[in-house]
Amino acid sequence: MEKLKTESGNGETEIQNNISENGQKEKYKLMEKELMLYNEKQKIETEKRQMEKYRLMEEELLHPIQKIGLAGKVWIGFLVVICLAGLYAYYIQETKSKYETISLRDYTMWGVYISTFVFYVALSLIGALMSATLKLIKFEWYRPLSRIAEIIAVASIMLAGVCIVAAMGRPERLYYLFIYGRIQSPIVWDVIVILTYITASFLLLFIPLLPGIAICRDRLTNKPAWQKLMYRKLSFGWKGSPEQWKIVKKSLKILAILVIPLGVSIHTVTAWLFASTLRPEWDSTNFGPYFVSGAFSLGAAAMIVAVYVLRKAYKLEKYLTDKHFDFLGKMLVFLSLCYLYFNINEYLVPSYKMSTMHANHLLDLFSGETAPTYWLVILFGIAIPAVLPMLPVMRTPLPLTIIAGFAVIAAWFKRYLIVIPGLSHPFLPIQDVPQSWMHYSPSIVEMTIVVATFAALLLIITVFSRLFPIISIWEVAEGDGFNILKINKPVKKEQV
Amino acid sequence: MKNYVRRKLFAALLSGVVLSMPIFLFAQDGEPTIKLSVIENDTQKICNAVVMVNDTTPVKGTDVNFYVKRFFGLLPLALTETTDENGEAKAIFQKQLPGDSVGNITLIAQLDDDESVSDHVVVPWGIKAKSETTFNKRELWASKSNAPLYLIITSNAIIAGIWGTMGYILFLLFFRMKKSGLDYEP
Amino acid sequence: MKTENENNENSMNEKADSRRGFLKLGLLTGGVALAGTGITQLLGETSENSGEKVKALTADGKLIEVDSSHIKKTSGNHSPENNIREGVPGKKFVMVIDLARCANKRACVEGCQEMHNVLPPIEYIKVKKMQDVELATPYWFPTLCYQCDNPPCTKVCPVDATFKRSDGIVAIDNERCIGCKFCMAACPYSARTFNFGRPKQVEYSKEHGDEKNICHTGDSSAVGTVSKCDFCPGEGAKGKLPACVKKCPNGVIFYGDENEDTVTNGEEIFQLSTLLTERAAYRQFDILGTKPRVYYLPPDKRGFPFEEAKEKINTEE
Repeated sequence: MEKLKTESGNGETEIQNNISENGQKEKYKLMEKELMLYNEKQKIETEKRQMEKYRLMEEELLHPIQKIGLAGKVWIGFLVVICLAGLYAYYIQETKSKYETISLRDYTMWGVYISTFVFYVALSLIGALMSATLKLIKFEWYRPLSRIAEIIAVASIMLAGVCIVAAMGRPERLYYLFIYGRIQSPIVWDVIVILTYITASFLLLFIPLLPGIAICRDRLTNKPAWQKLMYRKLSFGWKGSPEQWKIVKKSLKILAILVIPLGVSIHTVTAWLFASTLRPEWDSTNFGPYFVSGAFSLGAAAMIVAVYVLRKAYKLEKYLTDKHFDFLGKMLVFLSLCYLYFNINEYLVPSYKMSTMHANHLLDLFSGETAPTYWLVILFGIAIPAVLPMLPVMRTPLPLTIIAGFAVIAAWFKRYLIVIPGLSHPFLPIQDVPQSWMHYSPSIVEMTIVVATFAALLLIITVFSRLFPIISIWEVAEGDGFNILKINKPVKKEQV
Repeated sequence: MKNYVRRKLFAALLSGVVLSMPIFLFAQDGEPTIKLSVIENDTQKICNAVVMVNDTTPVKGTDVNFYVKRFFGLLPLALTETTDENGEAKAIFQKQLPGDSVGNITLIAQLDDDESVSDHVVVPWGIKAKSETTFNKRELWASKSNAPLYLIITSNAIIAGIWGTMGYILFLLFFRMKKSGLDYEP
Repeated sequence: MKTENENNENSMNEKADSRRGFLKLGLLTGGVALAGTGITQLLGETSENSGEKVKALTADGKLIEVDSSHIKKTSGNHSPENNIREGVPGKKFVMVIDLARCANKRACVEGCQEMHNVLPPIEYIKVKKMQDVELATPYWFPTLCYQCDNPPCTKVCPVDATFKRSDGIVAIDNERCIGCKFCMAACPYSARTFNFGRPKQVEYSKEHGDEKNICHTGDSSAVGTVSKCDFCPGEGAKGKLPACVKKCPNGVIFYGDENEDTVTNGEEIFQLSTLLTERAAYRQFDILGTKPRVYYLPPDKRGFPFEEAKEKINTEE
């Protein structure tokens, strides 16, 4: 042991001295040296193989950026068209009489815009859940998922803002929130916490992306000038130096810790927008956790769908494996059970008491006009995702994705059921009003805008995945045992 | 006989007219006036209205109403009172009514037949107006500048804490990231 | 070659640096703006003493001299004497509705609509058929904005567009309102209405432009903003009665100043406290803690039988 230490410590001159002193030792030394050389060779060989493996991985993960096929272009075009339709619908809404273009009236003054806003805020918690939480509790399988989760989070929180602007009577006065903002108003809390969450989520997306952008910068030399310029600018001079890695790791740790309370806060404050009013159907101390747990179960479901679609579209089966579906399936069961628990608290306790204040609303949900929607939402949004994926066969990609897909749709309707029937049963009876004031159903303009925001969400994810690696290369490599300090070097000119 | 009666009647009528003339003249010249004063002793607060004609002759049997002057009208103080032979009508003030900031209220006495005949007097019989107002208090419903202190302090502390942390990360990203890679040769 | 490349890169980096500087600035301002919202609240508006003294009337009717910076500035085109944010000095408007007298004549509704230039189906004051217990006959229930003393609508307004005045009135600044409708969601009495821009209404508001601001709470017909019953403070300031009070043929609605303990319906005048005590007055959903400024006298000893409405109202879209 000591010898080895000296050898490695003092270098060759000392070894040579040793040889001249003792013959036997010399022989032994020679053998040792040969062995070392062999080991070295082996090591270089392994490194080479590893490097090749890594290059292959890079190749595969950069593939969606390298070439956009016809189907990909058609898909982007399709999404752009829907987004433009949404913009046109918004133009109509703002230029024509809102009494005619949208179905909102004095009693149901919040409609699909607000329920979609709540849906997007819920969806944005996927970042706090999938990337930050899993990272912190060191669930290794988070590695290929974190970036997908983060881009969904950033896109959906942005679209939550779009929904709010669409819902506003005077969107041109949006900046009043900053110059006249009252700290007493839950809306101001929401604005503050959402802006904070956007920034944190954006950083959580961007900082681990830096090495990826550098790879794009170094490898994707056949791209148009603007794209190359973008990679150069956005890579922030990334060279993969130990100090840079230190900054990335440190920032990620801080952000992962920060984004969890922030994520919980945005949805809790969003719940407070409702719970802070005196309306009986929203007057619940359970609303914050009820919303957060719903957001988490939606997050798991949305993740399953996103993983399935991305792995199909970009042929990423090697990275987004069946094992991931297994894990996500179990997660969906757990989170849906949590959501079920909060739903029971939210609906069963008041309906046991059945006070006059709650009766109107609850009976309408359980057996009235909205009952079919309500029970379908309970079935597809909570019951099925909580029970079916308990069977291993249901945790295979396709069945799980179908279950999750329905859960995502049900999650949107769930928000609809929280917002709209809640408004249709005020304390004082609705009397002497036109028919349209009593029953709300979204107008074409409203639905076009809502659908356009969905298209925009998909468009943002698609475009992002066509410009940047949708799976974090270095995070996956690190998980596979690669030394990221060594492998993630900028590619030398001759290698290209 | 007939003439005698006729003459007698005429004389009576004439003398009647002549006799009553001063009264008619008096009545036409002197509009009734009302004078309101207050009597305050240990047990009672009394409003005393005196109705006179030509400031000398008291009018008996006229109805007088007593009011307290309010912003939106006159609040009756008591039931309608009738003047006695001195032309006086009295009403006992029993109400607990708010006055202005020093407790002054305006009492009004009016003739029931003719509202234009009235008099008023200001007396400190009201309750001092409450000067406290919640308008400028720090309340949840108050304006932006009157937000509760605990809300301002906690919200600012949270904002400062979180944005400070994120500011640190932004600082690392914008000012340290590039520098850290400059000398590095892979 | 290499050096040239490097030089090029350096110059480009410099450019990029300046652009990045701009980005940094933007992010910084974002953060500062957020913190600033809070800080300005802490400081309030007292931080800027102008030194200029202004005479002002306090709520109890005393004349005091204050620094002009303490007087809150009004927004928009309101002249100082119609300071919509301060309210009528020394007043605390209050309303009493005698349910025993209401026969659903709807004169109040029409008078209000005329006063505020609104067309049906928008009603700032509504008359509803209510029945508290199954065995009792229903009664007619005029409802309007209760100008609560603990107003849930005002609590939630993000931009101070709806506010509580010193005279008790909860008013709206339609030039400030961003149209988020949170106040409407927060009001448990559904007293608020939104200017959705119904074409007929927009046209009507335009035609009657001269009569606008009759109640001194801004242009309440502004499309995309919230409006509601404003207790006709313009009338109240002059000692006149609101339209609904004046128009009611049965003298159902009483209006007055709580500071003077008096209410009147134009014909009769009562001491407020006595009236409330003798008739066992209540406030609608007082349990919610909103502290309404509108009191109801229960519909006992009604002078006439309850009659159903003869026709359906507001059926036209």
